[in-house]
Amino acid sequence: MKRSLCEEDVFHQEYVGHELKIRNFLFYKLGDLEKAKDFTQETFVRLWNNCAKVAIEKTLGFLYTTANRLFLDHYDHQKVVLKFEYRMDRSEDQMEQNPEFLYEEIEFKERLEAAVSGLPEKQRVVFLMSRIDKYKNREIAEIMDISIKTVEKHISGAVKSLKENLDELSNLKV
Amino acid sequence: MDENLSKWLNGEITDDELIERIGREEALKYIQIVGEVDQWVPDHSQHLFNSKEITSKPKAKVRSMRPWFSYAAAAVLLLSIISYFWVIMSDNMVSYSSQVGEVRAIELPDGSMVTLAPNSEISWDEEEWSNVVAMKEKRLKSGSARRKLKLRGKALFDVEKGAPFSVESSTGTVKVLGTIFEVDDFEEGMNVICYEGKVEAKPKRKSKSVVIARGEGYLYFKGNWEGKVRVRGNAPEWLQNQTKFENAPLAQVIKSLEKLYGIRIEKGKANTSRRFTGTIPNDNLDVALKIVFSPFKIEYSREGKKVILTASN
Repeated sequence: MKRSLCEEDVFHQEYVGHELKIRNFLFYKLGDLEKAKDFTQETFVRLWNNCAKVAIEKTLGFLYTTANRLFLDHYDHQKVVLKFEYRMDRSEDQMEQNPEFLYEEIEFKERLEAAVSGLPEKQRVVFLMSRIDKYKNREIAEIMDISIKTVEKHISGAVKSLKENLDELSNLKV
Repeated sequence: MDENLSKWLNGEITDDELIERIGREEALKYIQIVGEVDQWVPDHSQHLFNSKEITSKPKAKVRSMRPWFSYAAAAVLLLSIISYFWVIMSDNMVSYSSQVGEVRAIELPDGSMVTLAPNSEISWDEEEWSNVVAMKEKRLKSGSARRKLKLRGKALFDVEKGAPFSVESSTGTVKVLGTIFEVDDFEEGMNVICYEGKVEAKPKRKSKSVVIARGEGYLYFKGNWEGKVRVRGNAPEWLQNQTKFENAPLAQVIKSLEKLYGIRIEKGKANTSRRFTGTIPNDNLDVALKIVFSPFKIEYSREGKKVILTASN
């Protein structure tokens, strides 16, 4: 028998699998973790209310579309201020891997956070989904309904403007 | 160079290869930036909330009341067009209406009360409201949830604490900052009276909104807000089977009469911008007509459900 999202255990599985990714997506857009959480809950409430209409394999698409609609409906032009924490599982060798740091390490995280916050929305969201949520370009393309080429452009564009931004800051410092 | 950067970002070439291809300084900067972001997470939560919170609550049920289907044939066409639009706006619209001469109390999903004056109608999106109620039960912040109502006619609202509450009429929107208030929406304007707390009223075609405090009423007529009026008592008179007007445009009074008694009033040349102050009964048309029109020396004649005005000069 075909399983349905209206079965609680199926819904729960989908929920556990996607809750943080949807929250992150909304956070990258809104720059407000609390609001992102509220919208995430609302997104899943809508999934549950529509469980009979959404096929299991279309869950992710429905979630991102709904989250995006909520974002658009409540967009209030607030300045995006993204703050991050370090992963628990970040490995020591990851930190030692880099032969040398060209940017001054003091306040590097803060400056990079500010630069990321200042990226155009699409670039910012795609870039962070790729690096933080570890989505493959193909997956992002599907979710955002854009081509893989465009995803690559957004990511490399983001990295380049982050570098330019940091270069400008370090020049000013001298 | 873009291609190299993309390849490196995709993990197709190593750090060393990137250094080789685009130069050491550039490459090291990119490595530092991306290496930093790769270690970030928004926070360390494993879960946001329990999915049971969502699945355990009853689902929104669609109960639609479309009383206008029982109206006369000529009216059905017009009204079914209206209902057609409502269906497009949302398929979860719930609506209640009161009959001519009927005052009807309705409890909203969140426990707030609406009392409909005769011949009025209120509607809301059931899905939207069920979200509000769910959040409230879990003592969660309401977040994006809104309590929105649509009104045609006149109603009194007693609002429970919670998510933002607003009433939309054809003329404008009234947002609740407090608790008990009345909205009277008629063709050329609306009248908002606040009995408790505070509300904010904003006409559709005007950006300026007014904040109305307890014991105050404001009239919006023909594109302008008119000065506030004091309100006596703590409930509208129509609850006691009478309707009170204070400096009300005749147009508003006529509309109220039509709704109260289910009649049509042909205004003819009568000047409906003049103001009326007084109280009329809700159950005696002859007395009501006399009270309203005799001070203005407006003659009238009755033909069944139709009243024709003839202004005397």
